[in-house]
Amino acid sequence: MNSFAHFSLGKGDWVQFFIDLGKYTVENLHGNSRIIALVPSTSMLPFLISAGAMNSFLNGNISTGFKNIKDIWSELVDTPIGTEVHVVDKTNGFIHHKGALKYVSSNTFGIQLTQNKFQVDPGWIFEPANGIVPDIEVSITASREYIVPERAVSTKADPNLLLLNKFYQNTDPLGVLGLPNNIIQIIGNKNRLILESQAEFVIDEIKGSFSEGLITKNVLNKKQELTYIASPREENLTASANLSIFTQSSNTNIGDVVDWTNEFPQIYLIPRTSRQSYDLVEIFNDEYEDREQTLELTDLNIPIGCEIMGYKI
Amino acid sequence: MLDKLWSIQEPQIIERKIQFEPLEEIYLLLKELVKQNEVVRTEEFWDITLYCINKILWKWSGTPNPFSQEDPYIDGNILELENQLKLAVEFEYKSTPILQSIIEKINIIRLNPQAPLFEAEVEHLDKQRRVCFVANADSYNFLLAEAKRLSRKWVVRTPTELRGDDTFDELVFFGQFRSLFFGKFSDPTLEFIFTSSRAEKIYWVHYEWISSNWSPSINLIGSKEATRPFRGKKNIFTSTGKNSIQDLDFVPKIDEKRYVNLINKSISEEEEDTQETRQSLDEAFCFLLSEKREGKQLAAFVSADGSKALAISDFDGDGTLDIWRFLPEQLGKGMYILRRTQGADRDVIEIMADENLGSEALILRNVQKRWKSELSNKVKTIGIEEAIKELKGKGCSPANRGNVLRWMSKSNIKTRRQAHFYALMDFAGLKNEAPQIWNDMRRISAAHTQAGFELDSMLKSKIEEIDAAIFYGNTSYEFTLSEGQNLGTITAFSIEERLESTVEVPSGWTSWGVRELA
Repeated sequence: MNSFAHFSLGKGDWVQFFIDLGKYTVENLHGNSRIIALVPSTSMLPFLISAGAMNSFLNGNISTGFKNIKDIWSELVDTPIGTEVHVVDKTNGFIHHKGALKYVSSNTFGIQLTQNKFQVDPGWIFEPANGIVPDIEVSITASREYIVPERAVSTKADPNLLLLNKFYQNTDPLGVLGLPNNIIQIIGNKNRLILESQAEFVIDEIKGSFSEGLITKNVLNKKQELTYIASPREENLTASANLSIFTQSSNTNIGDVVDWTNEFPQIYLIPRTSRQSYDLVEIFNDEYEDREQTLELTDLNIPIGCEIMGYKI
Repeated sequence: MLDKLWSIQEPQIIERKIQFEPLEEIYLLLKELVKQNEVVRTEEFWDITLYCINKILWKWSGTPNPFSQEDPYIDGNILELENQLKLAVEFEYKSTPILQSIIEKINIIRLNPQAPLFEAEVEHLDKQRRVCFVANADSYNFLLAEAKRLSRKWVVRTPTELRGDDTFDELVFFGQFRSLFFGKFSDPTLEFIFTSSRAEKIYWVHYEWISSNWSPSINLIGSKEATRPFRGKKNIFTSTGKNSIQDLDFVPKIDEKRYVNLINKSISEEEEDTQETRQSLDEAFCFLLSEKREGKQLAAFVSADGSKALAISDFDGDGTLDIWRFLPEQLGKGMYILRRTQGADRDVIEIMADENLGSEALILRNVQKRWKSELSNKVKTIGIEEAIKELKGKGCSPANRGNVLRWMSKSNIKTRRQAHFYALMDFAGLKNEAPQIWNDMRRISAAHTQAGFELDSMLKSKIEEIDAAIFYGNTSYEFTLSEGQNLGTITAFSIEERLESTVEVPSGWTSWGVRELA
């Protein structure tokens, strides 16, 4: 049992605010935008922000989200070869395939899972006129070309659909599985963050954890990791993340990676209780003075205890 | 738990002003004493005398303990004061009667079993509520014993222990705010006790005749006032006492001017001894050490160029010794500063970094020397103000007096940002070589980081062997770094005081060793 075993997902304004902050950042901010927040505690905050951000990614144009083959077929035939495509095959259980679109014709398509020539790549026939409609759902990740790995990324997975449904209301909960890896990265004390992500909570009688809702490493399989957790060393950071959240905590210092950017928004969470808070605030205040643009963060209901500023560098 | 923590971020601040006339009378006599013409801090006798009185008063006004409680610190200062009184009689100072009266009153209070701050506060507290007393090293044992005796729900926490997510119904802080920000470690982040509340009510209990004020200093400059602690109001922690006594009046401070004179005298003497003409000077912080050598004050200097120094103490409050790196601004009384005391006259990190760089160390160091030299020449030619203007024009936005001097210093390796470094090289006439120099400096920087880790782990393994109780009893503690490598000896020195203003000293003084102030 970990120290967060009795964690309950609060319902205060702060919870909604950090979910909204994630949404706001994804929907309104671009390029090297930075949000700095001084808070009484960073516990759970990166995950709340990620949940909000993931919701916006699902509703955005990063991927189509999982759709029944009938509904997505016309889009699929126009998709360039090599695009990242996810297929959930329900014919025999729940198998999630992730690969690059290898071929698509008027009635068939297939995806390349691996560079291994001896591996048989899956393909499907779609002929509704003849009653051939496979029991699959397909998601096309439009934003990036897929680099085919040496080993396949097809697994029997068991996502917490009830929780995904709760987290991502008004969207297809499976859509989250169709988002690209490392779309969000959370940087801080890795052990602590993993512990927090695995803390079980109950929300409207649905049990779950943030690692299930945000698909961190090993929740479904080793390869699928939408939310990447790492410690603050430059070599650990991934440039492909559409949102980076840096969390200051004991034994790690996000001050070591403040110069790192990847042309996508970043959120820095600094607990006032941290011994590094003074130095970090000074670094960000200096940077604020040299900013290119101030971010107003309007329409956000900021809770008492959270001091926040935003700017573009 | 987190809901509660977030819901108490606008706590109720309740100030309790406590009367205790015997202590107030000593303050008034002290004020009278400093009014006398002969009482000047630049004279060693009065500097020591006033320092002793202030140390006693500062401790008594900031702790809730009974005055009669066993306390070697207070007894030691009383003893020193009594010796000073004998000297005052011998020197026939006119102010001797006032000094005598102060010492008599101190001795009377010393026998008093009352604990005015604690007793006055505790009668208002509810035994059924979770109350947390904020303790320092002096008050911890007393508060713990009293809390246990009075209620099972009351607890005692040091500021360090409050850095977690635990919350309470009420939190009690005794004494002056300055005891947090001028006392042990002088850690500015301790303001979190008030700005990131752990309780819905915070009691501030202090003596009524002392004026005190404090306001949060850690703020994001781009934030809206409404999101700041106490919605940006500045007067939450302001208290006006009678007799115009400010808490700052009796913060125990030494006379800085006297020490600056001693430092300058030592520099001149060293120049005479070594027959050297004026050496290159570095701006540095000066730490007066508890250790004396043949009656002379020892001092350690740390460059003000942004370098950090290693220090030892129980920083995380877990009862064991820690070794952490601090900016000199963060080092203070009660910590042990580490200084290299034997071995080559180079920074040990630099030596270890060069070992990591292997055969390329010399080449890379020469590149570092070259750009420093070109930069220094250019700055000397056009003047620092013009240099700052030109650098800013080239996009090197952090250019200011302090940074330009830092970039010119031998120990600095590179700027944080590549773009700023390229601008700096362009300014120094090395535009075409900037990418190569940047890569070389990154390699030196990486080697320094690695060396830092190696040194930390070497020292950590050393301090694990030390009994904290024995360590604290010493004014210094010596470590041989490594038997295998020729890294010399490092000594941990207890810090007695830090001069508030920086001083200019020969650059060699800041890299290793300690100095005797003649």
